[in-house]
Amino acid sequence: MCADQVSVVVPAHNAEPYLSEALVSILKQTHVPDEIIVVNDGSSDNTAGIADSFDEVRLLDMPHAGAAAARNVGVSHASSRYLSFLDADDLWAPEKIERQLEQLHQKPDMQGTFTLLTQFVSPELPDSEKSRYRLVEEPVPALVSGSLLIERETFLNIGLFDETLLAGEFIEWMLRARQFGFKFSIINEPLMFRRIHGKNTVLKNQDSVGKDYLAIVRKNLKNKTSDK
Amino acid sequence: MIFQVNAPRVVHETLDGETIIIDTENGFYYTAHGHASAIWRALSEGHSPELIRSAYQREGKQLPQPVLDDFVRQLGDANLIIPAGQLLSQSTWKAPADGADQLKTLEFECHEDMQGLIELDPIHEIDASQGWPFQTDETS
Repeated sequence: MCADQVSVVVPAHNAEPYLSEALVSILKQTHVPDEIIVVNDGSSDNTAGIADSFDEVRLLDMPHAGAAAARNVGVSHASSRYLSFLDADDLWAPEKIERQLEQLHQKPDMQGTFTLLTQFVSPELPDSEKSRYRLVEEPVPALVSGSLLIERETFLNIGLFDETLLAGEFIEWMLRARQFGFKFSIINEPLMFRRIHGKNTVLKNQDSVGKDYLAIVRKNLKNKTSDK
Repeated sequence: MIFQVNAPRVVHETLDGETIIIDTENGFYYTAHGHASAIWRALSEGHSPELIRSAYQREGKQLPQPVLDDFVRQLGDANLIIPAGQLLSQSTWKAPADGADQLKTLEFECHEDMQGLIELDPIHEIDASQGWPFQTDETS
């Protein structure tokens, strides 16, 4: 296994409009990943066809089970030393992987690294829809899966994403990581771009989403109490 | 005046006397215990501060007006509750009988340790009717 090999896992559910652009942003990395795994999460559109049109992409199909399950499937097939994720509608800056590898080499006491992110309204949207959004213009720390670079073994030590959660699965994973004492750095550069569009995943059961958040916060409070 | 929880931005639950309130927009979460928890539940069910204070008096307890006003103000300043447009509850409310007879403070704590995680979680992308992350006034 080469020292700086990177696998990228891309969960994709009905991602036809944006997947190609996301994959190109991965392929344009100054440190090109060694493995790009697109997990087609039960899409009913041409997501699989688009992924398959890229020679560099390894396509995995699964019945629709959500982003957490799709990422977990991707992780289970990843073989590189380092692991990264990118949602199918988001983008990376070309230097993202290279800068993060440098960071991890410079700070060996850090188990993973994040970047800043900036948001953008998808350019194809009509002006009437663009005007609906008032985005935060300043780059913000991106404590989200799409900006993480981590050693695969470290990720697996923390554990897979909780597939029972409809929302907040990355928050729950980060809390586990913090509980175990893992440390993460944040590169102070906007190297990830989150696309805002009118077709972001709509979760139909808002009550369940709220319950997931509350369960995660309650677990965090319990951990903080037991740590004292 | 009566209030309602600022949903769907704010989610909350009470278990074993501990209330957790999450502001999903800014990532802060809050905890309330004891009487603060009970009063939060009463407010969230549409009981007015006046009714709540009267309920405490019926139990022989003193809930000073400034203490209750300050608690309600904190909840409002944090955007956890908003004025309700109509009466939500006509049921009576019974104040907890336990604890001190004189309520000097209402324990209510803000936590920031998950702020960066909750604020950017993709949950904020889910309400297609509202837009994300913020909708301008022109279309609201």
